[in-house]
Amino acid sequence: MLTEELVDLSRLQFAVTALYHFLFVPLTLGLAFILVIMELTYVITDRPIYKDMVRFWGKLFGINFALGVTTGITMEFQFGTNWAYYSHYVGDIFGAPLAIEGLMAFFLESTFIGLFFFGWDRLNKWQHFMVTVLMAVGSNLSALWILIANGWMQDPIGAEFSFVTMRMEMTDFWAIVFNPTAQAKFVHTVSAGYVTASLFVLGISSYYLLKGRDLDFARRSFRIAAGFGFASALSVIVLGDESGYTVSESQQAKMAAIEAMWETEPAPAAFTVFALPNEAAQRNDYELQIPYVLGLIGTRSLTETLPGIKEIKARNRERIENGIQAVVALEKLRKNHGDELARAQFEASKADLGFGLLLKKYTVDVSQATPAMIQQAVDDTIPRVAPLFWSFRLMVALGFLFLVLFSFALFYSVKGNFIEKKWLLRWALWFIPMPWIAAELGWVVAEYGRQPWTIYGVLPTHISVSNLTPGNLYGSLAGFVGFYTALLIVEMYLMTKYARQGPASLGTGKYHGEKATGGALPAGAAADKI
Amino acid sequence: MLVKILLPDFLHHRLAREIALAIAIKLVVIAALFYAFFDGRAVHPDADSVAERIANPEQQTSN
Repeated sequence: MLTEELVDLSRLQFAVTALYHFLFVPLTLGLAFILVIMELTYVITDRPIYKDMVRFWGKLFGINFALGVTTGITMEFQFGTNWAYYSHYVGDIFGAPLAIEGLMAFFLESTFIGLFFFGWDRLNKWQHFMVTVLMAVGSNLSALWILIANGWMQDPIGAEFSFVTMRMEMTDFWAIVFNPTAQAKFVHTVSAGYVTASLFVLGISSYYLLKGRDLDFARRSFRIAAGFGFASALSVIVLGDESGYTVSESQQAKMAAIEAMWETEPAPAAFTVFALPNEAAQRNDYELQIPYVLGLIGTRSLTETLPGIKEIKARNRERIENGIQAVVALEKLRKNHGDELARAQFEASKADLGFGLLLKKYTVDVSQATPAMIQQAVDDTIPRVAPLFWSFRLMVALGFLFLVLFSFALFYSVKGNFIEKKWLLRWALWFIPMPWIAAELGWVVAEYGRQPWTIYGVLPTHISVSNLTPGNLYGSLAGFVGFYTALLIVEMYLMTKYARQGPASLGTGKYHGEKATGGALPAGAAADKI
Repeated sequence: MLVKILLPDFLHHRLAREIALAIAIKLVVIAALFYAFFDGRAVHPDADSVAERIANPEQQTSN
């Protein structure tokens, strides 16, 4: 059996690399579409300031893309080394969307990003605009395939276990592609990226407005970010609700843990705004609830109940006991593939094979599992409540704050007096990091909430890892942390440097701090009169 | 000055040079991490070794 330390280290390493990687992703997803809006405005109006906006925000996009690209590849290293059993068990399914994502990223996204930066003098403006559109679509399609893979980990449909090959085999590719869990995750995730980018543009534009520089450039950027950000913040909440609905259908243990719902309540269940979850006593020491709301969100009905943790545990106990039959039958089938009795037994119980495998953490011979071991496995089926409860609430609170911020920004943009609202500009500026925090919390909810499974209900995490040495994992973990931290520092340095320079970094001679060139207006006064 | 002349056009911009340098260092570091911790260490379990782990009541240890 594998040690807890090894499993935890493998998990930690993957979590750290994934969380670092996702610091770069959302800005790429969202800024690409903001560039599309700015460039469309340019090709329609033919006003050079919009071209400057595309080039300047595109420059920041380029910095983020250059620093972020390939940061996801380290996770792929880990599949082969740290997660070899996972890779064998589900590689047939998981590998396909990952491979398609690789093709998308290299052949669509990267190609058009190259054309975006180097095509200004080689393409006419409509052609360049189409390149920008394809760059945005390409980066979002990359995310789609990753989230199809991730969605399958949360809700493994369209596949079946084969006792001959000892792996999950794909039975329906399109079921995997159109998995409702994956689709809901995709639209929710990319919307979060759009919010991130909108707040990034809004915040930096606010900085220029607060400094009283590049006013026309900043005003136009602010308005575009306010409009796009408002729509995105609204989407992220609505689509987050959809994502939550899929969780309540396919991952009830995760939902119950997120809601710290220990007992099954009469429908429609109350939503707990605040609570102090007490895992040992399986209750909340203190809670503040809003009646009916959770039932309506989670089931979209007034009559359907959502199971509480205790009910889910009782169900999972039955599944673990049934799973023991599946494991025993599998053991017999591995010795003799033609054993018809074992085959019938396996077919009857294979839906619970994963639950039987949970016992492998405590005993090699699951048929000899004691009641205490079964109880431990039952307890394992519920992820820890407090981290999920609080991560989720913080993420949702931030989501609503984004909506409020963008509502004000859009309202005053329409009224045309947002420059006078210093509090709004300061809020936008200081809120720039918040969408990243919300996105990371979202991933914590999604992935920590999936425990104890790598593939929900199918493959336990402790079965999935390779038997490496902890020393090796500590070494590579330290290497990754150092590497990603350095990348982050370089990203912050370059972003801050070029954001402070502002559109003057384009060298057109028209912006704050530049010397006037040719027919350009004098520095200082220029920006407001373009 | 000579170095600048020898550089491709797009590297004449300061930002392009900074990004190019960052990407080059990044690729070197990723390659170093790969060779230090991952190259040759990938495990390739087959059906039997997976069965050994999950469907063997007398299982010892496995990679």
